[in-house]
This record gives sequence, C-alpha cells and structure tokens, in this order.
Amino acid sequence: MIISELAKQKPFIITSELTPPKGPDYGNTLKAADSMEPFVDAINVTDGQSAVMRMGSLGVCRLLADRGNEPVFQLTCRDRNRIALQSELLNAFGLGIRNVLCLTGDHVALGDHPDAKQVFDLDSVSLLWAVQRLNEGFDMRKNALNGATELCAGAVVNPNAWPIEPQLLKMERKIRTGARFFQTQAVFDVSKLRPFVDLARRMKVPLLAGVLLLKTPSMARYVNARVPGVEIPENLITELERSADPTKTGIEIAARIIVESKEICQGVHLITGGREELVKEILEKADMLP
Amino acid sequence: MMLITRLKPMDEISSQVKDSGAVLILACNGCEESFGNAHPQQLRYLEEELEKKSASVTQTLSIDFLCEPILVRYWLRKAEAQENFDSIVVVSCGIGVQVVSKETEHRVYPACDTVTMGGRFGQAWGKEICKECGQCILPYTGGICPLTACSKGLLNGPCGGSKDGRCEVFPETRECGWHLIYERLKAVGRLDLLLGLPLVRDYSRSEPPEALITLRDQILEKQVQTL
Repeated sequence: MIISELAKQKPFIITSELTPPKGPDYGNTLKAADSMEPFVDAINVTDGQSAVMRMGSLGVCRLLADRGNEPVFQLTCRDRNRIALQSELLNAFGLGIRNVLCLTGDHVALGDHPDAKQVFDLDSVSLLWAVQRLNEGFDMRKNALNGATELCAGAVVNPNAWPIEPQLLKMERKIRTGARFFQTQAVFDVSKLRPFVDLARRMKVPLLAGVLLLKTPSMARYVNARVPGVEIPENLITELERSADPTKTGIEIAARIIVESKEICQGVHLITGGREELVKEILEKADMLP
Repeated sequence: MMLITRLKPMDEISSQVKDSGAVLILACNGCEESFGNAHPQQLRYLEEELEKKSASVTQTLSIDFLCEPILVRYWLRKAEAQENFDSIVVVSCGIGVQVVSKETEHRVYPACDTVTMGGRFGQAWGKEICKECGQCILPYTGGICPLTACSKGLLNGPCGGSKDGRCEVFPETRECGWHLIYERLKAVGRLDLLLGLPLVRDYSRSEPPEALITLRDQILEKQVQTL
C-alpha cells in the first residue's frame, strides 16, 4: 500500500532502509530485507547513497516487491538527466513500484567516483513536479503519454539545517509540487522536528522522523565529520563511549528517539546502516512491536 | 573575453518589473556597448517599452564595465543622490547584474540573457558568477546566481546539508549559495519567490544563436578595419 494511504489507515508508520550491494551479488541484501520485513510497513532502497556506485535502487525494489515487501524507490537527480529520470519513473511504475522518494542526491565529491560528471539537470523539487506530470498523463514537455502513472511521491527535509526557514520554505514548495509524504534526515533532538511537524500537519501530509542507529562512538564521529546534514550531539557520543556494549546503547538511544517521535509524528524511518537485523530489537525496546 | 548577451523578451522583463515603482536603467558599456543592447537607441526602446508597461523610468545610466564593483558603487551612490528609484533594470551580462545586486539594497532585474563567453575584451576579476545559461533567472533568486553560487547548481532551494550558511560539500571554502539567496530575498521582502513553481533550466536557450555569432564577427571585422 502506498505510504500516503497507509498514513490514513495506521496511526504510526514504520519504514526502514536498505542499501543495494556493491557488486552483483544481492544475497545478503535480501537477507537483510527478510530480517526486518515482518516489523516494518515499507522498505526504502537507496539510490547511489553518498554518491557511492552500487547496484541500482529500482532493481532491488523489484526484488523486494517479488517477496511481497512494499518498496520505496529512492530516486536522485545526480546521475540522470530529465529524459532518463522520467523514463526511470515509467520503468518503476511499469514494474509495479508505487512509492518514489524524490531526492536531489549527494555531490559526487563525497563518493567513490569523485571524477564523475554530476548531472543535477533537475532537483528534488522539479523531480516532484515531473512525477506530478506523469501522474496527469503527460511528460515534462506536455507531450501526452499513453496513460497516467499512479506514483506516490515522497520527499525529504532536514530539521538539522540551520537556519531552518529556508528548509521550511523548501518543504512547503515540495508539498505544493506534489510531495505526499515526508521522511526527515536523522534527528537526535526531537524538539527540532516541531516546526516541520506543524507545517506537515497544516498541509495535511504525513511526516516520518528519521532515526539513525548509532553503532559505535567512532561511527558517530564519522557521521558528524562526513555525512552532511546530520549532527549527533556530543552527550550521545559520550554515552556510547562509556558503554560496555555500544551497539546496545545505540539501540536504546534509537528506541528513545522513536518513543519521543511518536508523540508528534505520523511515523519513523529507521536507518540501520548494514545492521538491519537489529530493527526488531530497536522496535522491541521502543515497545512498538505488535 | 567578451560575454555575449541578448535582450530578454519584453514580456518577460515587464512581468518581472511590474509593481516595482520607479526604475533606474543601468547599462554596461563594456562588452555590451559593442554588442548593441546598451546602444542609446536600444536603451530608448527599453525605456519606452517599460513606460508602456506602467513602470516609470527616472534615470538611465551607461557605465563602462559593470563587472567593476568600485565603478558600480561610485555611480550608484551618485544616482541615488540625484533621484529616487525603487528598482534597477540592468543591461549587461549576468556578472554585471550580480555586481550591481551586491552593491545595492534595491531590487535588481536583468534585461538580458547571457548566452556565451565567445567573444573578446572586457574582464571580470574573481570567481565565476555567470554560466552563460541564456535564461537569466536572477530576478527569482535575489540577484545571486544559484548555478554558480550553489555547488550543485540547484535552482529550487537549498539541499539539506547547509549548516550555518556553509556549503555541505566544501564547508571550509564555500558559503551556501542558497543561504545567501535566502538572506537576500528576506532583506528585500521577496521570500514568496521561494514558493513559486519549480524552475527548470532550458538548455536550448544556452546555445548561442547563429545571428548573434554573425553579429559578433561583423563587429570584430569593423574594428579590425578601423585599426
């Protein structure tokens, strides 16, 4: 079921995230999907996350759909021009994928092919607009299609950005351009979500809070140094450092954030970064298992 | 180098300038003069067309090299002392528009699209601030070009990684272009522009039209003859 419908039927949605393999063997990717599938409503598949070349998002989305999972197809503007992006959206629809998360994409300088040409022919907002056109039965140049797609477009917003006003304006622009659900960048201070929750509520779109599992203190420091738009507070890193079992502590922190988010959001989006088997434990700790 | 520009369609200029009160036209005599858009005759045409669309042109000034900030500052202060105006229409390449924009609190509108660098003479020091896209969008972005100011060249707002006004990719060396645009639009009371329909670049407009290239050749030819 598409995320926007799901949000109407369930009081609290849980989605998670899967990174396609670096190479042709997707065996472990599917194992990771299986380990969390019973506990989540939908699984995002990333598209060249951090500008690292991997197996494509759409292929893995279809593999997930074959197994009865609800995939969220992440699509970025970094690697494709508008012709390829629209074509890919038609591919997705044709292959039975319904949820598309429209992203701008990370700069190639951050990834493993810093010498690549980055495209950015469109950006997240104009990509949302392209989805809207396809859903109306037209392409971006108003050429008629032989049918209309029924894609549910989602978007992201970063509550950690400062100042937040430009982010709020962009979020509103995305809603006006057809975003039907939002996932946030990973948050550690839930109070930062408040203005975004208010806007989402006012404009009647569900917002899922991003929850990142911290595995070790060094991973947390790496994220702070290298992942744009995420900020892990020093006190949490200290908590991990003092812990005899940092992963267990990370699970507790994630569970805490879920519980706090439940007060104000329509759901959470879990980012476990390779430890998908821990999704169950995180949700258990947060008392979110049925 | 010589930046080649062509006048925007009048409808595009007037739709941007409408409701902007008294207008100062600022024209560049650098590359532009030879390029025709800043010829006195052309400027009179621009004045007349703007007047027709109910904008009142209070002053028209031609300056050598709008890419030169000190010169621009000097003439702007002089113009401000002489007459009141609410907005400025700039007849120059995208560099001139952005230099003017930086030197004034008034709203600044480009009269031209910058198409190519394919000429000679005229110089602008500093960072690249015009991509010669042929579709000048500076009216929507507070007179700061996101194609050059944003490391991803995004047209519709900041990415999620901007922090304290710094670029997520090169925080040490670059400001976030969209932060600058946001601050500028806030200062001039036009944050509504950030909620408009998405801007999409039309790459067909960045291809220099054959007629402009021919004109450039004719101009250069004439100069060679007068040497």
